[in-house]
Amino acid sequence: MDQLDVILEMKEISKSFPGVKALDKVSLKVKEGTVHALMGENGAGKSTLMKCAFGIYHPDEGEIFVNGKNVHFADTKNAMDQGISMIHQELHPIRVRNVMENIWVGRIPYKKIGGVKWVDYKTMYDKTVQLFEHLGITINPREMVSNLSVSHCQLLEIARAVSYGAKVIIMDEPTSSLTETESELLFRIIRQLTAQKVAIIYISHKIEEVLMISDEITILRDGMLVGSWNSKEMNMDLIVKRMVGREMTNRFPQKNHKPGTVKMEAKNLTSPNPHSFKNVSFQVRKGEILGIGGLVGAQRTELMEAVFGLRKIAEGQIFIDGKEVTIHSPSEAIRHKMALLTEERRFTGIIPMLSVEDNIVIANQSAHKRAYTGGKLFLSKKKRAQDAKKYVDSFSIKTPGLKTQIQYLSGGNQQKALLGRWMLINPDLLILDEPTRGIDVGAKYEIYSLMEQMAAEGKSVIMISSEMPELMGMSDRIMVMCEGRLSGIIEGNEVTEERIMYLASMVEEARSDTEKGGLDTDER
Amino acid sequence: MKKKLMMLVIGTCLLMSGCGNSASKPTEAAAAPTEKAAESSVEKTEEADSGKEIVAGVCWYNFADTFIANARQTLLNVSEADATIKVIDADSQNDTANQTNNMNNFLTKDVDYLVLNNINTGAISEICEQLKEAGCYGIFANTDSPKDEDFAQNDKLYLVSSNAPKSGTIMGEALVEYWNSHPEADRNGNGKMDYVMLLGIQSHYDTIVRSQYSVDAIKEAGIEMNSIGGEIVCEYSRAAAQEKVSALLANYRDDIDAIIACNDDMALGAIEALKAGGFFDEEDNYIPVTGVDATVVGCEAVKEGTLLVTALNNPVTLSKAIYKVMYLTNSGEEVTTDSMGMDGVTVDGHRVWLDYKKISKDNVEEANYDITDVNFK
Amino acid sequence: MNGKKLDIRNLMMNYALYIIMILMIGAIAVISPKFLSLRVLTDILTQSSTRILVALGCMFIIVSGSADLSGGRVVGLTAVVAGSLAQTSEYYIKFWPGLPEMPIIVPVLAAVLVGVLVGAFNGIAVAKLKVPAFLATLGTQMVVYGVNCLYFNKAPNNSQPLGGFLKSFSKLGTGNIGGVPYLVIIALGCAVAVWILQTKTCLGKEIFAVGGNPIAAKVSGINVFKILMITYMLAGALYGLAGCLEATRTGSASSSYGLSYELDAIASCIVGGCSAGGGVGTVGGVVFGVLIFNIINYGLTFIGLSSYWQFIVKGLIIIIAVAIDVRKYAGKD
Repeated sequence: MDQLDVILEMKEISKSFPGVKALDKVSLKVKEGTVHALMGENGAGKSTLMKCAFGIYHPDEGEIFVNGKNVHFADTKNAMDQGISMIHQELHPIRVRNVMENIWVGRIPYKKIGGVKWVDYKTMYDKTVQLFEHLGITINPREMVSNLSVSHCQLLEIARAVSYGAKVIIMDEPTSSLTETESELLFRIIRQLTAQKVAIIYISHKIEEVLMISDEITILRDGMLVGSWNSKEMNMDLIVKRMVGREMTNRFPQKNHKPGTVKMEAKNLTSPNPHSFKNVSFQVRKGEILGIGGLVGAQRTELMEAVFGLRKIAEGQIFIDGKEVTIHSPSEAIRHKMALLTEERRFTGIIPMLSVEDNIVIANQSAHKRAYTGGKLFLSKKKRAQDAKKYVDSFSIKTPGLKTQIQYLSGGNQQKALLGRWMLINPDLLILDEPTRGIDVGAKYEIYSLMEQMAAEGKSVIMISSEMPELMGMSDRIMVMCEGRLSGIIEGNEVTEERIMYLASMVEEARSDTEKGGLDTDER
Repeated sequence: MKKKLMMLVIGTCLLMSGCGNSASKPTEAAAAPTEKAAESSVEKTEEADSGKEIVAGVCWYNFADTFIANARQTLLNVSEADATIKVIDADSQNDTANQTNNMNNFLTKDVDYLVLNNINTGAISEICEQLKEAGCYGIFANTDSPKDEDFAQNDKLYLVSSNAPKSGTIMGEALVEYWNSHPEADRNGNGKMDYVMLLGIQSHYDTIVRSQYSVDAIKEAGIEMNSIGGEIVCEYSRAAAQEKVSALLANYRDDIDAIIACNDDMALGAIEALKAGGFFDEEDNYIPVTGVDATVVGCEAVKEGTLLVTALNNPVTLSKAIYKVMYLTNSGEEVTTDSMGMDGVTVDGHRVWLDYKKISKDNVEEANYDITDVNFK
Repeated sequence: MNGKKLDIRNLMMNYALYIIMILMIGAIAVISPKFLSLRVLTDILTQSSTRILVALGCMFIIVSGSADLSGGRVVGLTAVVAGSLAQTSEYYIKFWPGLPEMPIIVPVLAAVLVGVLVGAFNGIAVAKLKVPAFLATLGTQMVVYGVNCLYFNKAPNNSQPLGGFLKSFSKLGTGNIGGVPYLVIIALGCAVAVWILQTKTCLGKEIFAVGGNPIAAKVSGINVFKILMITYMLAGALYGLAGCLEATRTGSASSSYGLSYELDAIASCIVGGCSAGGGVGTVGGVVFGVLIFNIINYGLTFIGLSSYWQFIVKGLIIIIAVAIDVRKYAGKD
């Protein structure tokens, strides 16, 4: 393999964003006709690196060489001209047009007659057929894109990339929304491409898949290069170890709580949406912190939103303190003394133009109107201010005043204010969805302390997190989900990062029980 | 999309209005209009030669307009009572595109008469040509007249319209009369008639002729004039006129000698503002206000003495005249002033003119008309 | 507002509209000093009164993050409804010939009730059927106008502008207490009531929350459907009251009343600082927005400037106000 030419080389790339060093002197060599896997935890810098290679970001330091020539990409068009293409996780084809128009959009073949450019459909069709034959794709060029499956849309994107003369194709989590059969089809096309000396950079969390398809593996961690290896020298354990490889420090408060009896139990929860959670059962005890791990698309958020009454549940039961309850809306959940700190702070948490005070008291005030009005018409200013101030002080929220609009606070302070909102209703069950995402270390510790304190008081906490250390450091038990299914619950003493990663990427097992039917339908 | 939606809504309204009205008095006599029409046409088939029902398609410019609403109802009533000619109508909703569609629909249906309350004044000749091709009778109703050439080319073409400029002239002449008989009318003593002109909609035909001919009539009488406030556009709205006059009054209280409004609603708004400003409570603080339309509330004001004059364009006369023209031509008779035989209706060739009637305190009871009156002969 | 460094530019930004208004009043007063009189003030306030009510209704909707195009036509409908129930027995084309003369509270309540019903209709279309508010209320606008025309065309009225109102009814629109017109008192009373509701009650806080971020509000246990229904119905009530007062003020009513009032109201709200995105808006700002437009209307007519200029000035004010607003937020982002 060493004799192959290096087609893309990235040398000591660094990239910073305000407050974060996303990439620190990362280098990467991709050889022609190979599949080069890029791996790492969420936030390790994979996507940033690829966006640098594709001209979306401009590196602060470092150089990029294509075929040994030093290049600077001003934009993605530039990168495509140099033979680099990227297929994003989320595809955005023009759904109301047909396949061939999607491929040639922006450079539609035309004939000029009488000074007018007429679309040359025949040439377009012929060129598409030629391209598809070359790749071994069997899609009708005249098919409407809205009729295509996700995997076919992906093939369409690949064909488009090849039609631009791509020599390097970056694929970001290409199989995340594909079934096994569809993935097989994708792998076949990938092999076809490598045979034609095209290089693939393959970003994936699925270790088995990577071991099977890739020639080389590069692993990043915390924005730094861990190393590059020949795939044959690697195995699952090695990969996980090198991806994780972090030393655990004392970033978490002392554990003082002791799980007691069951607070809430969910049985066979199933979403009406077939792509969402299915048959999930779990329990959370009083005085327990239950962690929920999984990869992007594991449907953890959806599951918890359903428990909180924000989403519909098709089947399954929820028991609180042993009694079955039905929860159709958040207000009912709140009545059962549940609270949910949502994942997207900006979109579903803060009410940006309202004051810190308004934001803190809003939930409690709606749940307990009398407490704020004393049965009269008007709200008690004093009570509102007291309540808000209590949490501004105890969480040391940095704000110019209670009347300041919350949008002007930093992310961490917004998050603490939202926690205050939920503390105010005095919940027995607190659900936290990625509670420390995008906030600084100090604020993180305060949030951890609060969780610890809640548990110590005999309350229950459920925490969804994609950050391994916090998941392991805080949870008594960890429930791992994969693609809407529960893939395992790990007791505290058995938790290892490897085990979590293993369960989270356990696509096969999770799927095999229910999705046997319709396997061969997609092939051809 | 928007237009479609609108059509739908309007369509529904029309359907409902049919139902709604059948419960009310004027159409009670003909609770089952279609049956009756059908019956009479059956009778006719036995006697008449063609055997076909005579149908007139009418495009009104806007059903929501008070005047049109009354004219429309009268025409329907008359047709139902007489049963010689069946009337079907459509609403242009004050939009030329709608009018064109409605007109084409009627022509496609092969109507015998097309009555057009035309608002597409730029395309009169084109419309005349279209009518000639269709071979049906065309009646332009209450609108600009086709040219002489148009009449020369098609002897099935008629105009039935009020003499619009007359409405302006009536207001002007009334003000001249008042000015000449009341020396105190020149309130600031500058020898000029300082007037406020309340306009409807800038490009609207009625607004143009009413404002222009009223002023012309006063100037012709040798009275110097001075406009206060320039072009005051109130879109025929009572509230807007009230607000504008109120503002003008605050500044030109002692200057304003007369207020000319292009319809009664605006005139009444002006009167409301004058009343609030302390006018009309005694003999000597009077400012003459003139309007057009002789609406019920307008006539009340005339009676009360606050509105100096208004001009009646009688919707009943209009519709009866339209029907009479159809009736005469259908039976092969010539349309003349004599054969029409209606008060205030003069025929000039194929042009049938209806006079505006001046309504002042002396003859206010003559402003009444009855849309249930179906006697057109 | 946020930082401590309030430089001149910020000051200009924050008070630009007030500055423009003061300059305009100054200019008009220079041309005609009579402008600075009690009479003019009373006039402007009276003319603003019904528009303030419509704008307050509109503010509820805008603050709750929605839109309403039906306001103007509701004013028209309720003016006709109120007028048709407030005629003297002597009037010879009485709308409801058999109806006895009733105390004026009847037509007022009828108008408010009709407004509330239309509001409920809007609310169901928007909050339950999830029709985009813009389209739903455009639909309502047409339906309401159609219904009004049908009602108005009923025999014996046959689309004649309504007249012959009871003295007590007209008095409501033209009378005063110690020189302060009833209309102004009612409008200010409503403004204060709305202000209290908005700032002092749970409902007010919840309306702001729904407008500011409906999902966050829902997560916080607020019943978004209920809140939207209430805002539309409250707005309807205010439109209804405005329609009724419009009839008392002009001494008449017809189906064309209220035409495009909703657009004036929306403009007043935005100029008065409501965010088109929802969640922001104060009663004071909205009242100011209405006043600035009415001062322009009145002032320019007052000095005898043609109506055409009023359109131009009004249009420019809207654009300037929104441009400043956008800049205010852009600067802080």
